Amino acid sequence: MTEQPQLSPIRLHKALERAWATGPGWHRLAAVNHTILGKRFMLAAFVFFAIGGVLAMLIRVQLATPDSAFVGPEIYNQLFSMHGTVMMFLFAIPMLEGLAIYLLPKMLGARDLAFPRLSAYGFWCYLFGGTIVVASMLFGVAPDSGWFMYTPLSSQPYSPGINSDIWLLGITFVEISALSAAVEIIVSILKLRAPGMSLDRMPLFAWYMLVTAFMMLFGFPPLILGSILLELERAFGLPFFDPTRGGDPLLWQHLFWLFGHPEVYIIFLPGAGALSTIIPVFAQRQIVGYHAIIAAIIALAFLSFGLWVHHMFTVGIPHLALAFFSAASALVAIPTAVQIFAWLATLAHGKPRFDVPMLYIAGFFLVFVIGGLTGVMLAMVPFDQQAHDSYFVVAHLHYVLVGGFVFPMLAAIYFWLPHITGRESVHRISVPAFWLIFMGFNLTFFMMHLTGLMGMPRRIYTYPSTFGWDWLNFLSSVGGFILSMGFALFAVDIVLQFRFGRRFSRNGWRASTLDWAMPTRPTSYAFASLPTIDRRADALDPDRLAPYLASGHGYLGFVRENRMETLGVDVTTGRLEHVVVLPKPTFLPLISAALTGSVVLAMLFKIYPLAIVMTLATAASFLFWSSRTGARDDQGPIAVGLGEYAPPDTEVEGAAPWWAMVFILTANATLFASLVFGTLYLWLIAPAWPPSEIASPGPWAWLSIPVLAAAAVTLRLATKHNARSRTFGPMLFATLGLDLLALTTLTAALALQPDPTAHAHAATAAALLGYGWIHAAIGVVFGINAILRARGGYISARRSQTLRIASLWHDYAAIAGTIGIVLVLAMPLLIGMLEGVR
Amino acid sequence: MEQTPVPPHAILVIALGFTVWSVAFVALYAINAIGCAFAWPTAVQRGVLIVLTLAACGAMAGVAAWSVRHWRRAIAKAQPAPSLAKIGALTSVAALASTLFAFAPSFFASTCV
Repeated sequence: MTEQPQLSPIRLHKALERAWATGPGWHRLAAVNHTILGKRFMLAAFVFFAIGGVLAMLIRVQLATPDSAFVGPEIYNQLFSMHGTVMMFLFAIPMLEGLAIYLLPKMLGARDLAFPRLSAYGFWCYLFGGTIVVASMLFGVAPDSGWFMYTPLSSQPYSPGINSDIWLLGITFVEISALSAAVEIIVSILKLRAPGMSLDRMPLFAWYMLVTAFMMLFGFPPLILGSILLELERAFGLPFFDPTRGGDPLLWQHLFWLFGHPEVYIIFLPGAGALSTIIPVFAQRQIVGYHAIIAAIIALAFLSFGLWVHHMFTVGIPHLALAFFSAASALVAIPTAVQIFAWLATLAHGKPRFDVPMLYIAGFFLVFVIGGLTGVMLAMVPFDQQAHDSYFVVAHLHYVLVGGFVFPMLAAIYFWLPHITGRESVHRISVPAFWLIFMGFNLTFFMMHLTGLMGMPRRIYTYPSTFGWDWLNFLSSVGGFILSMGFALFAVDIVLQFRFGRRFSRNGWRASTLDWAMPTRPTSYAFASLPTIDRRADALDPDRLAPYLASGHGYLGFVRENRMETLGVDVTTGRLEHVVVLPKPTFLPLISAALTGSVVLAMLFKIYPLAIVMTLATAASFLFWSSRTGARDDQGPIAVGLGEYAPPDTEVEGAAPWWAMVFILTANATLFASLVFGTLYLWLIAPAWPPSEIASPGPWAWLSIPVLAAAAVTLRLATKHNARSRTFGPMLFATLGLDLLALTTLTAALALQPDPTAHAHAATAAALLGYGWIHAAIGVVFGINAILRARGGYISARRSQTLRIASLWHDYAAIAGTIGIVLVLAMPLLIGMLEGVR
Repeated sequence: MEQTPVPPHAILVIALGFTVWSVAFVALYAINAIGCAFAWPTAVQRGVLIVLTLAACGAMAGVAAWSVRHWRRAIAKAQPAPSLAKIGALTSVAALASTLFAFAPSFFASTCV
């Protein structure tokens, strides 16, 4: 164990820059740095926002006058479907991801996120998926079944083109990006903080993002499952949503809104996190109700999952269920109000100073509160039944989403722009841009409350002039163009500030969080050395900390073997735990994302053999990721500065990759639970049951259970033997053999199934067995990876992460596979129970 | 390195109350659907739902009481991170209130109409 020599600040900067910088030219495509990727996410999100905005303008042109012939119904259907899709999936979610990726390491006192290559992979998936979806407009085949793709409209008989396939495959591609970002954010917040930053010292923005990322982890899998099932129905005829063959269109609505309602809060919470960071700065005092706000966002996260049915109040659900969901929908207003009152109290008890971010915050208060109140109105079943599917709902959702996300994001952009550009804002254009946006928005959408209450339904492409909607629609359209001019002015403003802003002095806003304790623009390594946190991290003194850290007096104020190092801490207490060595820039994320994209395209054009080949190529590319990480020898504790030592992440049990696998499996389990829910839902609710032929997978399915279990147990034994420095290689080969055997037995079980296109019962049985098959196949990949890494010398008694991660996967595959198989085997019994009743 | 003053699983306390709430919510919704599908007599279904609701209220009251005690203990022991226990107590009490409000319709709303 040797201490590292202290370098002068300039030499330290140069050494860190050599280790962390992304190369020029083509090497920019290999970037994995969070600052670069955060900015790329936000820039791409704004480009998609502009595209969504143009679509909105076209919608408003069409609706400005009655009986308009500007576009026909086919194009109009694509316009509103794409507007919603682009804004929700290609603007809002990536924008919040970009802000989180850019800010979190800086606020938490880390040099980067836990999995930089995953951030890069997520970005490329988002860009490729978004491009596929948007490019479809150029060919006139854009999705046209609404942004929520209700079946049966989006099913094959009623949408025979590839429009719906583009949505299902393209958006699922983008959701991979969202899930990878969620895992990245959770693990980074829990493990990569400055020493001393216990959870209860974290800045509120990190709490908001932690809760948001958990919501994404549980919210996205139901939609991913729904998209897979609907694509299976469209492409291969498995009738999950076809009521004539035992499916049910309402299953799609359940799966969609299980995602869709939490999605509203997934979008709102990061905006609220930005507000909770910005408001104290301008109020010039600490936030009021720090603990109450955290409790409120946790309550809000849970409650938001308990009200998905409030989008389905008119589909014919018993009063009791309606009452549960109505009550939960009203309840969710309370934790939201707790935050609003905390922000108001902070302003009331502080000495507010006004600047452009505060304009947008004032706009947020008005717009979002109106949206929240109309939300409570819609939570009441009798009112909802009147206003359902009317323009009142369009007005409400825009007040909530624009109020709760766009206004806070615009405040955030103006607040952190000097951080990104290194230039001070000049606000001559900012103020008129705000007023155009604020007035244009309210003129556009307030009118829609009235058109809705006067009976105008959503999604109609035109209307006669006899209904009295003309002037309201015309005003909405005028407002829409004022709003667009505001955003155009905003874009000009941002470009001008990049170009002409004055050089910025560090921490010009006098903020109290770590993100300002660094040079602006930030360097590639963020902090020259890492701080120790001894108080709440929203009450720091960046002006004092910054020179101290820049001169290398904190942790890791040196460069060791040109490695990219940051610190890992205990989840709860923030106690220093280990040194994290991050991967260098690489083209691998781009290659893997391109291969994943080719899988999507091959499926879109129904070239399934190519899709299989590309899936294998994608899996192989991920094996290359793994081959470049880890260490070939045990190092023991190494110096981290300040006279302290910590082991490298490869030699500790609770390192970031292990946690990542836990959370990946959590999302996976949510998807599986949704599949089990779907199976039981169809059995219990769907028409055309019981089926004429009962699926009975027989002995092969039974045999798969002990084989899957044996693979998991063998790998656990291998892990134990490795921990005692005994030979474990043969056990890895045995695990691989058992994985292959499980694949064989499950293939045989699937082959003996009745035709899965005949009835939803057989389709769900095939889906459950297929789920087990896919997990056995991925188990094979984990097995090969473990063998390769063991042969390469990357595994030892201390360096056992590869085995423990593979073991987690195999344990999960055995448990979920068993549940799925038992459910398939139990279905005949369950169907028999219902026969006397239905 | 010093001892870990707060165990890592302390973070779970902050989600405990609403996890119980979620389980009860799903159970009530599922039982309601099953009862309607199997055409249970109204009195039987109402009885099962009320028993479930009371059980959920009891469990939540227990969780809330435990969380508040846990918070007080954390203060008394002067742990370095009592705030997590405080947040846990706040969320548990909020979850109890949510249970009482959201599940109350079990006592009176039409079950299958």
